[in-house]
Amino acid sequence: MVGHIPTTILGVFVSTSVSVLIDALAKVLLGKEEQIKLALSCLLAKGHLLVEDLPGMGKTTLSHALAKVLGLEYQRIQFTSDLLPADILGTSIFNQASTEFEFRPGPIFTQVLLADEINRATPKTQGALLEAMEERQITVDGKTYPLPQPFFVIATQNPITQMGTYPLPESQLDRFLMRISLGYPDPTVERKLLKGFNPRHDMDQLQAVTNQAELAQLQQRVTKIFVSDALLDYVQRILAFTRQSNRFSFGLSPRAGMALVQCAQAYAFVAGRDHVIPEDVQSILPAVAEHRLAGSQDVTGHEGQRLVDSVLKQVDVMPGR
Amino acid sequence: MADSRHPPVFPMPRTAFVLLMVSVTLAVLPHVQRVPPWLLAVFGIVLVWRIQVFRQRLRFPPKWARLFMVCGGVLGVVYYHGTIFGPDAGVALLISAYLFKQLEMYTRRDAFLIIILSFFVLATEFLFSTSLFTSLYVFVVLVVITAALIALNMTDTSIALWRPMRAAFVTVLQAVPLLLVFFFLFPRIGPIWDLGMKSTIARTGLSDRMTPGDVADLSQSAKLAFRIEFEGEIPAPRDRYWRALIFDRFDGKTWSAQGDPQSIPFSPNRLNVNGEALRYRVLLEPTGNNWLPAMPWSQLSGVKHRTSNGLVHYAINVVDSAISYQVETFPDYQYETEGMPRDMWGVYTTLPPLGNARTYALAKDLYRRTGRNPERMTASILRWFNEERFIYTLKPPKLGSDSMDDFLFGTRKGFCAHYAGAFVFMMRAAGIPARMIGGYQGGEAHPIGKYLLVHQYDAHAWAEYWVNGKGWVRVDPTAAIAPERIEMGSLRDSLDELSLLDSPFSKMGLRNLPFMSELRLMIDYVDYLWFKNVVSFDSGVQHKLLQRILGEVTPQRIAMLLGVCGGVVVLGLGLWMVLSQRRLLELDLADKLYLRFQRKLSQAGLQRETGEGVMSFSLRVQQRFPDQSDTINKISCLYSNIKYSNRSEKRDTDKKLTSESDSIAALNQAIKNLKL
Repeated sequence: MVGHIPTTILGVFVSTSVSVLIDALAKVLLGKEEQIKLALSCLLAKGHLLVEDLPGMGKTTLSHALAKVLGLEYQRIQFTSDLLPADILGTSIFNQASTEFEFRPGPIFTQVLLADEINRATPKTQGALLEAMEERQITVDGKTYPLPQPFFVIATQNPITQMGTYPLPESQLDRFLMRISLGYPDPTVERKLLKGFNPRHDMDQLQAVTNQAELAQLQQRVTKIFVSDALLDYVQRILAFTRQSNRFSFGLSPRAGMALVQCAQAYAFVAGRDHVIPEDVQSILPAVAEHRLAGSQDVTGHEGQRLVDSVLKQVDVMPGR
Repeated sequence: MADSRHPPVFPMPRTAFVLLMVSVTLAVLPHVQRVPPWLLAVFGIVLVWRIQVFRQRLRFPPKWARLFMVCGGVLGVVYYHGTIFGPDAGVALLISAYLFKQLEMYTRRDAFLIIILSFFVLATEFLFSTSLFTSLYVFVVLVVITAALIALNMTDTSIALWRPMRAAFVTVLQAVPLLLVFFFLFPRIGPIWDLGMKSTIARTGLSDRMTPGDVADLSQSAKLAFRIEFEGEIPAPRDRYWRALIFDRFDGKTWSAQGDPQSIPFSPNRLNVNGEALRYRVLLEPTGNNWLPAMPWSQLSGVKHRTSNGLVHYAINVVDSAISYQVETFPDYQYETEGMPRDMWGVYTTLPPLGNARTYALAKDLYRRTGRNPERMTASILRWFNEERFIYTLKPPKLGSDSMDDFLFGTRKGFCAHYAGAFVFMMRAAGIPARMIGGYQGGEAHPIGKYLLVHQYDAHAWAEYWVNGKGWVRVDPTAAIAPERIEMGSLRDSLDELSLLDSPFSKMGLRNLPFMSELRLMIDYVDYLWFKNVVSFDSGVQHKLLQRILGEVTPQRIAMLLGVCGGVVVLGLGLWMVLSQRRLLELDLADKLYLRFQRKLSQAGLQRETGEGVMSFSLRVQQRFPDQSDTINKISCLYSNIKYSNRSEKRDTDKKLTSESDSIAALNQAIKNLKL
C-alpha cells in the first residue's frame, strides 16, 4: 500500500545520487528495495541501525554493501560471550621505548561498524558499545578519544536463538534509530540464488558511489526536507494514541517522536520528495517504533509489530477522528 | 459443586463491580439512621461477602440460605417497625431485599436490576428530606450509579475508573435541561396512596400534651421549626408570639389541647381589629401535625385551613412535607369582649377539684385582696413570681401528685410551662377564665436574608385570661421570672449544652467558635433559598406560572407547552453536539473539500480506511475508476500539496500555483468535475 507513490507527480525533486545508491545496493541485495530504502534513510538521518533476522538472510551482506557504496571505512566484530570492552574500544599498552602508555585503538575506530550478533556479548560489553554509539567518542584510562566522522553502527541480532544471549534492554534498544528485518526472499529471487548467483562475488565489484563529503551533504539536505503542521499533527496523533490506548504498556517517548520525524524526512528524501507526507511516516513507523513499544500484556517483547499495525489502522491521517 | 445450582456467573468487569458496590453503599447510606440496626450488620456482611465472591474466595449462598435471609429480613422489619407498611418499614424492607439481591447477582441482567433498584432506593430518600444537601447528594449518587451502568456496558475490561464517571457526569448534565422543563411544567400529581408520613416525623418541640411535673429534662432540639419572611420590619422579640395550640384542659398533672380543635369555630363578629397589618410568609418545616403557627390575630392564605375559636389555625391536611403560607396579622385586636359561649366558659374555668389545696387557698386569697379584679390579680401573681425565689431552669426537679402545690411552695424551679401552668391554675382557681397557649416565641433574625429563623428550642408556653370588655389578654409569666428569655428573642444563650444538641457542630465541639455560628447561618440561608425557590414550588405556584404563560390552563395546552419545550431542549442539545464536534474537528477549507470528495466516493461504494493516507487511497481509487484516474490523481496531489508541501518555497519555483487560494479553487473545481 505504501511506497508505490509516483515521485514525479508530487514535488519535482529527484536526487540522482540517492537513486544511484539504491540501484547499486539492489544489485547485491535482490528484491529488498524497501529494506534498502529504510536502511539508507536510517543512515541519512544519522542513526544507528539494528538488523534482526535469522542467520543466512543477508544481514551481513546488507551492512557490508552499505559501507561499500557509501565509500566508508568498514570493520566487523563478531560478538561472543567472552568479548571484553577492551576488545572493541582498544587498550593502553606500555611502550618500553618511550616508557609511556600508548593507546592502541580497537576496531571501533572506523566509520561503519558491523556488530554481529550483538546480543551474544555480556551486558558490560554491550554497554561499552552502546555508550560509544550515543556519545560518538570513547574514554579509556581517563582519556577521551573521538570516533571518526561519520560513525554508524549496524548491529545484527538473532531473534530466535535466545540460549546464551543477553537481550538488549528497552533503554539500549532506544539507541538504535531503526530496527529492520530482511525476511525471506521472494521465489524468483530465491531461484536466482539457487542457480548460483553469489552476492559476495558481486560485492567485490561494488564501487563506492559517493564519498564522505557527499554523504555529509546528503545528510544536510535531509534536515531541510519540509515538514508541514498538518503532518506534525498526524505524528502527534500517533504519539497520543500510543500513550492513551491501554493496549500499550507505555507510550512513545519524545525522543521516539523526534526519530519518527527525522526518519520520515530521510525517507521522503530517498523517495525524491521535498516534503514529508503521511505515507512516509507510515513507511518508517514499523522500523522506528516496533522496538520501542511493548504491549500491556507483552511477555515475549515482540508484540511491537501488532501494536504498530493498530497505530497504522486506527490513527487517522486526517484531522478529526 | 452441589450448591452452585445457579446460572453461569457473568464475568463482570472490575471497574463496573467497584462502581456498583460504591453505588449500593451510597444509595443505602442516607437511610442508615432510619433502618433497624441489624440491617446495617446485614449491609456489611453482604458487601464483604459479595466482594469475596468477586475475588473468588467465597461462593454464592445456596438456595436455603437465601430463603432464610429473605424470611429473616421480613421478620426483622416486622419486629422492629411492627409493620411492613409505611415509609420507614417499607424502605427497610426494600433495602433488605436490595442487599440480598447482591448475593444473587449472577448474570448481567441481575446487575442491571441492581442498578435500577439503586435508582429506586436513592429516590426513596426524598420521602424523608427535600433539603438542598439531600438533593446535591442524590445528584452525586445519580452520577455514580449511571457510571456503574455505563461501566457494565463497556466491553473493555481494564477501563480506568474515571472514564465511566466522566461519561456519566456528561449524561446526567445533559438531562438537566429536560429536568428543568419537567420541574416547571409537568403537572404535579398528588399522592395516589397515603404513605402515612406522619409516623416518620420525629416530634420535637411542641406536643399537644404537656406534663411539666414529669419532665425532668425539657427535650430541646436545634431543628428548624419554620422561617418567616417579613414584608416590612421584623417586630421586636417581645412581640413575636407564634401561636400554635391551646392547652385548655388540666387533669392535675397534664395540660392537653383537646377542646379547641373541636370547639365552635371562629366567629368574625366577635372580633375587633385596629391598626396596621403585618404581612409575612411562613415557610413551615414538616411537623406531622395540623398546627399552622401565626401571630394573633391572623388571616392565612395559600393553605387549606380552618380557624378555631381559640384563634388557632389548623391545616385541613397534616403538614407532612414542607409548606408555606401567607399571613396577614393584626397585632392590635380584641376577641370575645362581650362574653363567651356558656360551655366555653365552663371549659376555661375547670380544674380538678381535688388536691393542690394550698394553691387554691392562695389564689382565692389573692383574688379577694385584689378586689376581684382579674387585671390586678394578674399583676399580683406576676409580682409574687418575681419577688419570691422562683428559678428559671430547663432541668426542673420532678413534681409530686399535688404538682401545683409542690411547684409553687416546694421546688420553685421550672420552665415556661410550669409558670404558665401555675398562672392559669391560679386564675381558674379564682374563677377567671384562663388558658395556656403553646407555640413559639422569639426566633433569630437572619443577618443576611431578611427573614426570621424559629427553631424547636424557641418553643414556648404562655397564658391568656379573659376579662370582660377586653376579651382575651395575653400574659407571659415567664417574663416575670426570666425576662431575658423574652427580650433576647431566643433561649440559646442560656441553654448552653442543650441548645444545639442535634447540630453537628456541637458534637465536634466547635459550637462556640463565632465563625461556626456564621457558617451555620450561611448554610441556613442557602437552605432557605432552596426551600423558597425549589421545594415550595408546588402545584399552586405552578398553576400560576402556567396561567401566566398559557392564559387558560388545559391539559392540551400543557401537553403542547411540554412538547415545545422538550423539543427546544432536544434541538438545542443536538445543535450543541454538532457544533462542538465541528469545533473539535478544526477542519480547514482543504479538509472540508477533501471530505466532500470522500463523500462522493463513499456514495460510489469506496471508503477511505481510518489509517489510510491520501495518496495510498488515491491509488486504490484509481484502480477502481481507471477512466477518472487523472482527476483523482489531481485531487489527491492538490490536497497533499496544500497540506504537506512548503508553499512559501513553491511560490518561487512553480509559477503555476502561486497561492493557496488558487490551489483551493483548483481542488474545488476538480472535485466538482469528478463524475463517477
